[in-house]
Amino acid sequence: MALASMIPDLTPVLPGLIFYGLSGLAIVAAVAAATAPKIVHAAFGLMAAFFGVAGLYALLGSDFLALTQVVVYVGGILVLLVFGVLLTGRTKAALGLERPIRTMPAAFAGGALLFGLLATILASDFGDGGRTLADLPEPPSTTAALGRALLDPNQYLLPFELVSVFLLAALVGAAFLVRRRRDGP
Amino acid sequence: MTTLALLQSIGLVHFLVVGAVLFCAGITTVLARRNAVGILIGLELILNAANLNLVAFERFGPAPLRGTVFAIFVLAVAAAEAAIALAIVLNVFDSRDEIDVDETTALKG
Amino acid sequence: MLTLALVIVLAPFVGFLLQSAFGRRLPRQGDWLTILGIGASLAAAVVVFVRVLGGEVLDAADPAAHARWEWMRFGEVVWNVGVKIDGLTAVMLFVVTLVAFLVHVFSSAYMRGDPKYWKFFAWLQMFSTSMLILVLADNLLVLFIGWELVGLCSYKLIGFWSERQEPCNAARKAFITTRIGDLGMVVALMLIYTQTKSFAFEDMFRAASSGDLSTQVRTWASLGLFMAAMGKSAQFPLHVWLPDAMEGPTPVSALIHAATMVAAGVYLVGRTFPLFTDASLLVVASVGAVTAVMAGLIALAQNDIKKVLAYSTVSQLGFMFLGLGCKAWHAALFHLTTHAFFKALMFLGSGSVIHACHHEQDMRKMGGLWRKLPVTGTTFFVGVLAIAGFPFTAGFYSKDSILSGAWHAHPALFWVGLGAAVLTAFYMFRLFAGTFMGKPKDAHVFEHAHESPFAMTLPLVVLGVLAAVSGFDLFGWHTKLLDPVAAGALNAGSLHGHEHSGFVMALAIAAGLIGLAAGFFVFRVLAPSRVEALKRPFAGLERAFAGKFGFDELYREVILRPAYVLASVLAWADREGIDGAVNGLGRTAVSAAQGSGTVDRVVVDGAVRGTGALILAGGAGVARTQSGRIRTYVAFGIAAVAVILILGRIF
Repeated sequence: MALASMIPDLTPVLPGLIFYGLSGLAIVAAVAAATAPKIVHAAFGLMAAFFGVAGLYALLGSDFLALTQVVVYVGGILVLLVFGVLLTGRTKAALGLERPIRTMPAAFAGGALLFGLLATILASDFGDGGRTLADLPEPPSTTAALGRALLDPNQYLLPFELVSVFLLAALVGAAFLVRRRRDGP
Repeated sequence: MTTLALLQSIGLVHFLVVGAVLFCAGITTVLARRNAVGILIGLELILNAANLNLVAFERFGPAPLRGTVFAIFVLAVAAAEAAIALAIVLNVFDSRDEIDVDETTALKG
Repeated sequence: MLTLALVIVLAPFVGFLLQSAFGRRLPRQGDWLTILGIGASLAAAVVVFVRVLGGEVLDAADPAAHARWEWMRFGEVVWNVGVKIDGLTAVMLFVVTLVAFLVHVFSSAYMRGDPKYWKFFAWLQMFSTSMLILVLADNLLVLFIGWELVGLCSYKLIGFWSERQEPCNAARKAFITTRIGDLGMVVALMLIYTQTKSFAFEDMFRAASSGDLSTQVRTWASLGLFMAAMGKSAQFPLHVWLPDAMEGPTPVSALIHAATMVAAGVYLVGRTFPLFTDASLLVVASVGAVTAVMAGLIALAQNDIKKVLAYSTVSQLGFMFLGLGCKAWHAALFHLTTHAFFKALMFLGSGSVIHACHHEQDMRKMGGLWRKLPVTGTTFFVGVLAIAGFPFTAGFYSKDSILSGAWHAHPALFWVGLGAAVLTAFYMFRLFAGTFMGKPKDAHVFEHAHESPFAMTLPLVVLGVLAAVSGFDLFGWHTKLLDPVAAGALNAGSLHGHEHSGFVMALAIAAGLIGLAAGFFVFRVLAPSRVEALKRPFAGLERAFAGKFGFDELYREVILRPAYVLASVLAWADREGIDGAVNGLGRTAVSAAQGSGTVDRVVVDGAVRGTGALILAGGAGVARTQSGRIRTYVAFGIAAVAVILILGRIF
């Protein structure tokens, strides 16, 4: 009883804590992905950044997207990337011949861009009325609504079908590109 | 502003700033790395930053679901892009033992 | 009416799609399909022409049939696509579809047997579509889309015979040179849009007349538009691409580089005329006059039939700009129309000659061909009379009204224009005499010459008739179609081409006749040896004309060579400096360890870093812009965005 009253009520600041925790994770991981000298480390940085962003999605009420992010990005794309790293691993890097990455000029360019973006964001009025997360109503679960929207001919059915065709084409294309060539060496 | 107020006032701009940082980190990755796979890593960061913005605008804006739907499409495109790009990278690696994009300046095999 | 407009644009577009998909497998490689496509377009254009003539859309409130659809919406901002038909559009539609149709028919014989026959027709269709988009557009943005599309098609068609090197170079030159002009168009578009928040013509004209667009903005915007027109219409100093473009197949030269696309610049200035201020009009008139004379002089010394015609086209386009700059709006657009007919006629005629002489283009090897090619020769002669301004031909009326416009506005430029008119008549007669008259100069070429098939002579005859009679106010096409638009463009009936003064008219007639007579005297009466003797004192001049005043060389020395030298220096520095330095770092480290160590390392390392930084700062600019390295391209994009964002905050 006494103990419980001594612990401050964290509910109003909880979103803030979660936000700073997740975005800190995402940013640190992203910077690591950008600057890590070894490509494998960069891939792991990317993974952490994916998790951070997934958490931010959840904080924003997009539960379905958060899950999809984990499944598709971490489970799919990242695995592909790591495969790529491993399959092409016997390059100069392995022999210690890879030329060092030029982080400084790139970081300078990225920094300049960041400066411009931040200046623009902070000076713009987005018409959100300065509302905070706490002001917003509790978001409903999006999964069911999303399913209906994607299959509703009046909403997103056509883009949805187009994307499925596009994915099929990409699948076939990728398989075609890496097929074993029968003719030639 | 006290720490408490800082923690309570998470608004749209906060998410946009995180998005901008991720975006610039992605750009830096693309610019700094010579390795094609490294460039893909940067691209994925950039797409994530864009998605984060879409979802944040959806949450703070009047139109429900729009941002999420768009983000899902971006995700699908990113998946396709990663698959195709890696196929190309493997092909290039096969033909010249090299995936340094600065060295592969010609389209001819 | 608007359904018809859609038919006009979509018929050739559908033709393009079908032809590019199935053309190769169709009987006759699908030429009938594309002729059908442009034929449908022509039929619809004729109906539009007749209905506009009948006064269908020309009511007082809105002298145009007009429809627009929403294209894009970003928040409050809406961009539209629209179609607008007024008298000028009706005339242009008729001219474009007719010439395109005839060129299609002509090509079905001219291009016979070419391995890429079907592809040629596909691109002709796409060109027709683009040109019609350009003409029908009701706002600058859509016009710009058509503008760039015709440029692309022109590029593909100039470089059609891509097996040889020259057409590829010519195509690239044309594309890049016109692109320099298009930069002006983009600037003008942005300038106008930021000021009026609209691309629609009527909105910008309203803003111009109400004073919402300041004179300064109008001047800069109109000069930007004129810069684009200079590129497209090959005006000095961007004229260098058009003569080279003659590497393309001759029907292409007739359609694109004589009748339609190059005239699009004149159309653009005519369309956006209310934006032009007195200052920018003076620029337009001066550039036009200079171009008219300069190109005329160069044409004097060319021996390739198509080159002569190309320079004559440049010169005639200069005439049109002279007219526009002198506020003789009606006269300029009138000349555009008649020029489209007689120049297409002469290009197709030269195609017929080239076809007959088995792809010989040098007129020094021709002569006496009239007997062998009666239809081609006769129609060509009509064209020569028309371009020389022989009384009662089409060119006579239009050139006369331009000159009288110049007389009223800028007497000095009038005399320049008059000189160009004399030149025109003279070199056209030289061309005609050298090709069709006199004795055959090359027996072999002459022996094998034969009149072209019906599919080639029919377009010649049709165009010949039009070149002869289109100067008259047939069915009232001036008074009913062009005049209302001219009145709108000039803010109601100020200066007008019809106020002919007898003196100007007499001079204009005299100019044409003197030119023709001088040509007759020099090239028919005098013996060739006497001509040589006569030319000898002017050998230097002739060399200058034949060398096209050295513009190509000038550009090569002043622009291309320094850029190339700079690029190779920087590329060397890039290779040796950065890459060598970085690669060398490993080697230096080894030697440093062996040798004296730290001092060496600091010096070398420092030097290396210094070089690297220097090159990065300075060299990145030029040498690496085209290095093929993706990351460099990205870096430039990022830098641009960052600069724009930061500048956007500051201002």
